[in-house]
Amino acid sequence: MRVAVNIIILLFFGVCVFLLNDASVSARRLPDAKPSSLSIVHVNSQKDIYQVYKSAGLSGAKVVHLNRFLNLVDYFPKEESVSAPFPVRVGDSRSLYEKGLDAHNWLFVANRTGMVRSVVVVLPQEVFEQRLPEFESYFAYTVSGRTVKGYSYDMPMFVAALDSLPVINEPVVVNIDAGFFSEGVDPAGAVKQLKMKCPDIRLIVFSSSFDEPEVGDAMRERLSLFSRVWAEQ
Amino acid sequence: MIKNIYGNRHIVLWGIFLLALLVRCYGLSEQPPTDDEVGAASAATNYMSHGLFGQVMWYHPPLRNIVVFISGKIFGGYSAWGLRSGSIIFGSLAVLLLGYLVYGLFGKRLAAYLAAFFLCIDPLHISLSREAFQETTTSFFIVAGVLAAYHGIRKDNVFLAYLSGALFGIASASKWNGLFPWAVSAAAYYAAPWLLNGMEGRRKPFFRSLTVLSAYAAVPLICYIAVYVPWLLRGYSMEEFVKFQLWLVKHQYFYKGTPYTEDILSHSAYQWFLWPVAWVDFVFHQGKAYLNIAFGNYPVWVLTLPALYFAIREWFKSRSFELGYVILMFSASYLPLVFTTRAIWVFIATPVILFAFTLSAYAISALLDNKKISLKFLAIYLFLAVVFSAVMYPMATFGALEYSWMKPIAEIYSPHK
Repeated sequence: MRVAVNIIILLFFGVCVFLLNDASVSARRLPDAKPSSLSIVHVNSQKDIYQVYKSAGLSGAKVVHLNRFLNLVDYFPKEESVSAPFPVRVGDSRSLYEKGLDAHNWLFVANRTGMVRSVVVVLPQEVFEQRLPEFESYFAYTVSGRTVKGYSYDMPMFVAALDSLPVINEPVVVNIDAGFFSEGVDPAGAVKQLKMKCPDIRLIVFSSSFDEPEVGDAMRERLSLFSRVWAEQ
Repeated sequence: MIKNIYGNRHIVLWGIFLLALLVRCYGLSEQPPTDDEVGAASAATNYMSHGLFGQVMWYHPPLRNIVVFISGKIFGGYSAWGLRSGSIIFGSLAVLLLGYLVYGLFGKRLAAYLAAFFLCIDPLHISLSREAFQETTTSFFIVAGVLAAYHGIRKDNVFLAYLSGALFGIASASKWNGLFPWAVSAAAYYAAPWLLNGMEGRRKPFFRSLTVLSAYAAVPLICYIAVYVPWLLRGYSMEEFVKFQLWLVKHQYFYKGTPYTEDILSHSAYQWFLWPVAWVDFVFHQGKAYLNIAFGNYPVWVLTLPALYFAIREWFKSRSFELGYVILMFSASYLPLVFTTRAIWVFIATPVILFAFTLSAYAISALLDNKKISLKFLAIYLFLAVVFSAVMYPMATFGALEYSWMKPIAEIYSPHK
């Protein structure tokens, strides 16, 4: 009798884990796979990408983010934790996070509001090299070879240069920011590598980053070239 | 009549429970919500609606969000009661269950009453019961888990073992302090047939392991994972959940508090039972400053290490399973906190004092039985403990700036010095 009960409990545990995993994965919302017409959107600024995600109804998406910035600067609304008279009134935190949206935190905010669950940041090679000591020195990151794994709050993140990016087999949303196109980056080569490493792209957003002083016209031209090559292939 | 009341453990323990409830509820609405409590309210609502961790102690498992949310629903919003009733109820019930646990372990009424009373009047425990945090909830589920585990072992009742596993899973889903008694209870359950007379027939390693696996792994894990369901439904797979837990371990290990808590407050667990150590909170609410200074009850806390020594000595003489179980519970709950390199503040002591008070209550009761101390001595000691708590009570309920005689202590903990 005891053996039977134990086995039933162990089986129940296995079934619970399986069903919960299935329910969680099913809760993700990304645009449908349309091989003939991939959703491609062009925006002017980094934080406009947030609005694109919102319009697309994203939820729990994995984002592949090509830029020279992580766009993951922490932002926490102060209103959420300041003493107030009883009864304490609380509302939907997501709108408070959206109020603080800016060019450098929009991806962090997109995680807080539930649209993005994990991010793969692809940095230009030289930026990756420059930032490596920073990743090595902070406990949130683990550097392994040419890749970095870590967390931003509760969001898993992965940082790499395009060469060392592994193949990502799940459906993803891709941001291509003009800031990614440093002088050494070959747009045509980048298209080829990205298509190979992200075989299931559901939405692609090109950002000219007019709100970013470090991004110049040459970078935007290379982004245009990338966009043209992408459309041709 | 007094003798009759003393002889009925239910009346006495429920009486101590009512006293615990009273001192935890008194003037609750006048105690302003701290910034962190407001954050806890926001976290509760947003966790249940969107699976979003809040800003306050997000790195602990999220049972607090569920408890505060339910409490808010019961009281129709986050009033003082809606925000804190979970902590108060669980804090007070822990007093009751500790009494029953100690009675179950040693069969001594005095030890049961003393342990419950020590927890009932402990200023630190009172203070933490009056804030919307997870400390007293964790302690409640730990003591409930140990109670079920012990009776499960003694009565060879597998369903109590499952219940105990569930309670430890819930305790750990509140705070990871639940892991230590969970591990000790799992080991004790497995080893019981080899340690206890009359259970020789149960010495079957495979079947015993199977029960331990289901009662102390599968059942608690189901409960633990269930608490994370709102977060999981943000799209996280079980693989990502496991990796997230590993990240939290790393985060906990490297955690650093605010400069105030790191530089001004004592943050080493070895100090707890040697000299008075305080946890301090402050809030600026509607133009007025409030300071909370919560010490443990020093006359009680200082007994812990001598009581541990006494209990170990007694264990060597008697090899009592119960005594060994409590010594192991205390050691497993306390020593990891002593030896960790990160800061450990005294508010983390609530799961440890359950077993510290059990040991002290056992030692006092045994010494009284052996006539090593007199009833008069015990009465004087209890009087001292009550006076200490009474003096500390206003300080531990956000009134440290209200009375001039507390000023010297308040100045020690001033964030502006």
